[in-house]
Amino acid sequence: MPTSVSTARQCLTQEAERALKEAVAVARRRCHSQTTSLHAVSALLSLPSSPLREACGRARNSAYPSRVQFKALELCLGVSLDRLPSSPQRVDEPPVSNSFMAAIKRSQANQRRQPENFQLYQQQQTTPSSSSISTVKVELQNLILAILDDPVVSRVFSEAGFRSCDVKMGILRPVHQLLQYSRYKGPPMFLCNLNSDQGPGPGRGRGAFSFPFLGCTGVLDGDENFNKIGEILVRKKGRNPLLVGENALDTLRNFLEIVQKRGRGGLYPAELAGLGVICIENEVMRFVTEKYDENLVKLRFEEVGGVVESCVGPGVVINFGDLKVLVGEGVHVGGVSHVVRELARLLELHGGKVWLVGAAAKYETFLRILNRFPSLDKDWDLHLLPITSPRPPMAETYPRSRQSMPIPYSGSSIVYSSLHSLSHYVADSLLFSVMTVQNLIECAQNNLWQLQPKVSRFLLMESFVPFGGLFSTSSGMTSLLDNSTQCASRCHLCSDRCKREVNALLNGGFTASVADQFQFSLPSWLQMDEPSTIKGLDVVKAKDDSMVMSAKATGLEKKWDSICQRLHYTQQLPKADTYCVGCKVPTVVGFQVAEDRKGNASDNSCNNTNASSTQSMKNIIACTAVSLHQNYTPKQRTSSAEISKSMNVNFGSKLCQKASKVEDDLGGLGSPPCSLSGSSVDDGRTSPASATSVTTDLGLGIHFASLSRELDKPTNQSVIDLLQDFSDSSPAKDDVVTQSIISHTAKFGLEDFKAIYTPLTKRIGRQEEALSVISQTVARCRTGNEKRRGTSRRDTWFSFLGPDTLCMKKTAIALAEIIYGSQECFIYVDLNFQHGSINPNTVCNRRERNGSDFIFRGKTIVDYIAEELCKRPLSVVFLENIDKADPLARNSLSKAVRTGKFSDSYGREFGIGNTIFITTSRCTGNNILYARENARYSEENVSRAKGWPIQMLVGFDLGDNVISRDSRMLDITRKGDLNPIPLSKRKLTGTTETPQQHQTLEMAKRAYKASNMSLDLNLPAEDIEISNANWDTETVSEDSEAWMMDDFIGQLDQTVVFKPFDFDALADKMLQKITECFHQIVGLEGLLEIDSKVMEQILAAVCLSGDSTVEDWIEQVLGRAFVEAQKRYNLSLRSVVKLVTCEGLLPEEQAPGVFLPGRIIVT
Amino acid sequence: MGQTLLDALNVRLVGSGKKFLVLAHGCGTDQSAWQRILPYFLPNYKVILYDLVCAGSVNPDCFDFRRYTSLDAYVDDLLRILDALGVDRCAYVGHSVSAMIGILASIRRPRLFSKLILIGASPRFLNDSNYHGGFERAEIDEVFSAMEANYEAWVNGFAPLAVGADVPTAVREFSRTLFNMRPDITLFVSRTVFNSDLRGVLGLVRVPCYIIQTAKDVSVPASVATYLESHLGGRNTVEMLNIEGHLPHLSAPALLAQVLLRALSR
Repeated sequence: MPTSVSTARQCLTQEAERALKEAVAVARRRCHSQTTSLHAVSALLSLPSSPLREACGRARNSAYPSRVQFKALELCLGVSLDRLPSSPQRVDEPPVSNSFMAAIKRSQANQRRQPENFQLYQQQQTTPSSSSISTVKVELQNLILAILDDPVVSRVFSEAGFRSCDVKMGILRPVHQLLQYSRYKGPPMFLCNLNSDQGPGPGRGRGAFSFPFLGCTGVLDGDENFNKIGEILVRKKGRNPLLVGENALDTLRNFLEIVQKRGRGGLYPAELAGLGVICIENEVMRFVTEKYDENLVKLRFEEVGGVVESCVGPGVVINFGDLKVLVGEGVHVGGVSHVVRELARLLELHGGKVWLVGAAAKYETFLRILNRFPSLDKDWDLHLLPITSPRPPMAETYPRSRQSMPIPYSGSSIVYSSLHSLSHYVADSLLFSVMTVQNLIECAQNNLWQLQPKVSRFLLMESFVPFGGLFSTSSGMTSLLDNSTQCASRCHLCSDRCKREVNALLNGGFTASVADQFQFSLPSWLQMDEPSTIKGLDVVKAKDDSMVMSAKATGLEKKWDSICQRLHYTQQLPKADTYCVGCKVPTVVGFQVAEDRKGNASDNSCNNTNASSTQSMKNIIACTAVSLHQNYTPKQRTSSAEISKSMNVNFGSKLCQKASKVEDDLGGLGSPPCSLSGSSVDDGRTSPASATSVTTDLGLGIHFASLSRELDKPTNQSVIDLLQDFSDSSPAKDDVVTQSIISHTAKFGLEDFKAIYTPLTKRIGRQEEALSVISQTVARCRTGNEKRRGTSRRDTWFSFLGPDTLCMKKTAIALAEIIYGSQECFIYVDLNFQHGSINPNTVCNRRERNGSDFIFRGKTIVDYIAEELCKRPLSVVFLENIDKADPLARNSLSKAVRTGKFSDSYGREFGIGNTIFITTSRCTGNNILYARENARYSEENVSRAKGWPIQMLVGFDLGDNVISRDSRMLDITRKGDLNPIPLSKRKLTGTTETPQQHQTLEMAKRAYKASNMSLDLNLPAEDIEISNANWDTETVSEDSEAWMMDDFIGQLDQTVVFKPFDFDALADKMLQKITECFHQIVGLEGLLEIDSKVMEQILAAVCLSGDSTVEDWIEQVLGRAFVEAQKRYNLSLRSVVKLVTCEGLLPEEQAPGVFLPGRIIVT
Repeated sequence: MGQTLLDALNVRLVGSGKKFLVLAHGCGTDQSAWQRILPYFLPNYKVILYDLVCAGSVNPDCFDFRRYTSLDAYVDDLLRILDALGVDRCAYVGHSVSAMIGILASIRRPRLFSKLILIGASPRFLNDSNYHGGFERAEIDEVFSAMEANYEAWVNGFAPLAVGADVPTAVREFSRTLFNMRPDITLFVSRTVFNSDLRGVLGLVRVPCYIIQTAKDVSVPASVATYLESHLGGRNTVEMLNIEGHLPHLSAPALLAQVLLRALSR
């Protein structure tokens, strides 16, 4: 959008305005529709006394005669001007083009930062009326400099053999002279504060801003310390300063030196003028260290007393020097006490006329002497004065202003000014200021140019993005603006990462760690949806063959290319904080996934990994966009085209078949956080959302641009159509979508209680009561007829109480799968993680491929939840340990329950319309439910079980040590009937120890030993019943955690109490399986001991993956190990086989599907 | 007078609790650094936020090169703010420079402070014969000349280093606030800080101190925390956080907030 000449004129000084007028005249003469920088250059060169011409004269290449080079310049300029489009009819005043206007703006900002104008600018700042920087009038010189930055102009100059930086230097040189001249005119600008209260001068008048602080009145030497000493000296009480601090002694010496030298002066308050100084430092040292002579001391102090008496001024300061002397090694105690006494006496005798001063490097020194003379500080009337800084050597401490300080500004003035004035730039000025940095490498430029159409569209829409906001971080900006070295290093970085990733892939271990590594360094807009990416990769990995692998490797390389480009050149724009929402442009989201898919080349996986079709829609768009975006070799190109085509087909069919579902998803998309709909008009949105829409638009626009640029294939068109379809339908024609959602969720209506309950119980296999409550509630809430809210809210809130956390989690995952169709729709957050209870390596946590500490780096829990919600609005949010939530999370959650909007720590709100929230807590009201204390396997221990490798040790039972344990084998009798193995045979048992020690051993024992065993009466078998009684009374009392109960859980839809799970029974079942297996292979000889940790691991695995998988594991993995051991050691009657965990080793690869090691180490 | 000061240093009083809590930011940041942590304290504290005079958010005219030659001037500011607000007792959380300022303020007015929480604190940055402060004089001079030569480049190099952890938002935030400072002021303040030496006066502190130190801090070696603990005069506790960086309130706000809450309740 060109600017009218009159507007541009307002920004210019007279001189510059004249130049503009000339430029406009040139444009008019040539019938051009706009006045550009080229016109300005032409005008500037033709001015009678042209600084540009002069500068060119200075800068020209000495190889050619100047006339020739100027002629060349004229020619080049003429050619460039001829190329400009002319307007159909003659315009009187061709308006100023964007690039030219940008140059003006740039120079304005630049000027504002220049030393000469600094004061002027600050004056403006202090007077509110003229706060706008548009009042800065651009001088011709600055304008020329800015114009030279214009890429078009610099091209013209370079064609003519000028280097525009030389020309710039040529212009700047007189400016430098000016700078030096100005030194005499005004105060140095960076020390203006310093000069403000000194003498007359221009700085004087500027002091409109009165300094609001006290304490600078008496300063003359700039040393606060001296002032403070003076302040203490004039006091009535505590008037003898003892300086404490590393620099105390120096300060003291300097002080006394100045006192002696000046005698009087403004150093200290006036009444102290004429102060005398006596140093007895050396004498004191002599007295206390060398030979102590009482008489000598007395003599010296009498002398001092005489001086004091005879002094005329206000008095005498007696410096006793460093306190250390008095407490040092080998001091003469008598001497010290004598000195102390004498000094005290002097004080006493001469009242107000004597001061003592001293210093101590450390407070400890003072403490030591105080130990010896407890009344010292009273006797000497001391005041401790902390000295923390040395006397500032003025010349060093003050900035070396004139020579060095302004240089960073002028040297990098372009960068600097653009940094600081970006908020006042229109979009394309940004582009050009970016372009000014000459070292930007080719590809970056290409990308920027791609951006341009979109940006100009912006301008047309008059939706100005606050670029200041986007760029408010200097780091992002500068890396964009910085020279090629940085770009190169980034690229290097990316290629490095890419290499690593490819390597990792080839090694078959595309593990989380690699993902982590790059995830950190990516801005959040690239980070999202990591889990699905990884999952996707894993899926792919499973079917890997080498072909696919290599294809994938190239895919990865491509991905990194594109990441690198986006990250480092193009899209510095989205700033994570404010625009994080908007940045979740689906294109970016999905493209990693898309890459993976491409490698896989079979599109059928496209939709079944991510059952949430929101995701898959994103993927489709992203996939096509990305694949189109990249430059493939012909072969690849066709394949990618195929993919995109088939995806379209796929998508189309999906659209037809599952219309309702898709529309539902559109509803999800239409909600602000994840707005694909942001691409089109959304007026009624709140401000964050509308900001969002702008950036989203930008993001999408890039792909539109890239799509239209790089490929013109039929598929391409269809993709665009598709996208447009989206944006047409997605502005969430609210009622329509809502309708469809309602119709969709009606599926989960009342009759569908069973639809939830049946699969749920099938998956969980216990806690039927709780499950039925859950199913009912879900059915009720999702039909929208829930009591506390309007029809539009379908978020569901559960509170799971009780000890069976594993089951709770499993239930939540199952819910995610049943209702949203995928385990991916499960967001897990442990609110207790700060309290140090996180065990990243436990079996149960293995599914979260990264420890929580990593997830939460740099953000709060709330932000994490919000981010996840934003990615997956249709999901189950599982909040463990709700009672441990921090205040921030509490607020946010309470608010979410009330209003249906989840707000993050920045106050942005996210719709949770279709989310199921599950909070868990171990406490149910007053009773905190722990697992039975006497159970061998407690919930806690099992959930804490770590996924260590399991080792099999083989030894020989010498009998004695086992017998010695007998007294503790209490469970055997109780378990005897559970164990079907006849008593005459070997049998598996477990030992029980206190829950704290989990070094328990599971042992197989000879039956005769078992029969020997005494019953331990301390552990009653009735325990189970007793403790069970507790939970059967489902008391939910209100007064445990005030917030948790009253404010929060009370508001939830449903509270579900989970009963504790009997791990012992499960353990017995597993034991039995293992025994059977053992006996099959080894025979009935031999003894099997199972470490309780191994058992816990197995139990945890059972909880996570179900009985049958673990039974398979026992058959296969454990069985194999038994076979191996049998082969190796020829197990006999008295051999003992022991299963233990090896905690030292790193967790090995797991058996597929089971959370147990895939191999047992046999030693 | 008081009001001008409060205005000039952007003093804010937020929160609904009874007890006062001062959050004082370090060099190179401003009070926005506490933004992520603030919500945790609002229910239970009246939180006092202010900007150091050297912060980018304060009018650079307020920075008097003649006055702020030592940390004492900053201490004056702090005490005046507290007086102007009528605070008679408060807990104090200070980061980096502000930790030093807090130490000095508590020496001067021990009754005013119920507790000092020192994050990334160091009494002395330069190495000495028996003291490892983390910096050699020559290194510092190099840093200063780098700062002078090209402030912006220095900021870009220093910010990720200081943040330590791979938290891009924190790096960006820190570079922003660091870059907001006028280069000459940054340089001047850095000189002041590096010239300061609090080791001698630590023993004068009577207020209980809670020292929070991250495992890897580019400015403060871990040994400094133990030094502080053994030399500060009051009851002291050290908490080593198993995270990296000099700015835990930017890089790990949730974690730090928990630690702070615990420290305050203790």
